[in-house]
Amino acid sequence: MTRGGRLAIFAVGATGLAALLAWGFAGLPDFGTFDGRMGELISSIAVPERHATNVVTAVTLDFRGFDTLGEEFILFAAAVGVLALLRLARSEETVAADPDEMTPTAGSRSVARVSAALAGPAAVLAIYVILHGHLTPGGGFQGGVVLAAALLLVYLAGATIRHGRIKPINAMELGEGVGAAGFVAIAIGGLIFAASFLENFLPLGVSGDLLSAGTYMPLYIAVGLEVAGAVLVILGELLDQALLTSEEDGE
Amino acid sequence: MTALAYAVAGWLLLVGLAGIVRSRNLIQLVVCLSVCQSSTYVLLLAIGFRDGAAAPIRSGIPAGAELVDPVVQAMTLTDVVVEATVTALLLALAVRAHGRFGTLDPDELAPMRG
Repeated sequence: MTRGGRLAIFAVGATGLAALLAWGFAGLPDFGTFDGRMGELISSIAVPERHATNVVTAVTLDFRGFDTLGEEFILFAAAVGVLALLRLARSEETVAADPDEMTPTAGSRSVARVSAALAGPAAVLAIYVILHGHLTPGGGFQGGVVLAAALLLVYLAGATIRHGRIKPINAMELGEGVGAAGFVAIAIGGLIFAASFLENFLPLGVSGDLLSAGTYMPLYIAVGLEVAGAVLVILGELLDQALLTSEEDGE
Repeated sequence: MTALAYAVAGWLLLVGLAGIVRSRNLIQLVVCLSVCQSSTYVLLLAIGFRDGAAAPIRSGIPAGAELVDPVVQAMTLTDVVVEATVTALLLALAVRAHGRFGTLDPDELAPMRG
């Protein structure tokens, strides 16, 4: 089929889809008047019953906690999938990346210095965002991505992805696995120390304190490790491919 | 004016789809897909909005104050994670396709298969 023909068919379909969307949106509640009973209920019981001031965290880790478990394992499966796809590709390459060779990763000095300066503050911000997930906007998912960014800044600052015997990619995989296992362990803790899976079995503390809301903070630490590990594994593999390609081009 | 958020969601979906259909590069195609997916964030957050309500954080606001819907916000969080995973896998597949066929143009990939 020609491009023109394909675009013409798409234009017809898109017009129909636009009409359907307009029809669907017309049936939604008017903007600003949503009457969500479940949301209202959770908003009113998050502080009295769970001592968590961040209501979204209460939904994510508690009322929809089981979904979040699945969500974590989606990320885990995606990282494993990327590893499987790209490592397979690398094993087909005739030139394997030399694991012991020091390869500077940043070509520009200013990039390297700015990255070195930002890595520390980014790591502190990540830890802050993860630990305050039950109090203020943030949590393990957001903090985990910031943590991954902090470690990528270290990479940009000129460290190598495989530096001697220390192989950060193994540490990333370990972090990912520990995070995923930690979430399940805490969830099973609910089964042992309380009545049901994922039940909040730690002391709830005083609302608004850093150490409050029971299992939320350990759960978000596990999520943060898992997310940071998964993001780094995925980006590390993709960067490795880029390095392989640029080596080939250079030769 | 009140329909603006819904209109933006619909526009993002359609413009992303148009980008996918017109795309001549697999990487660009993946980015177009994330434009489509971002329409769902706008839609979910727009649905949960309430006039005059506070963000769903119960600190520094009077007890019993009305909050915007926290459930759709948590759904948006899930949505973002799913988008990240889909993007990662598609980019890995694009790398594989480039390694196998030496091109990123979807139009050139198709006849090679057939």
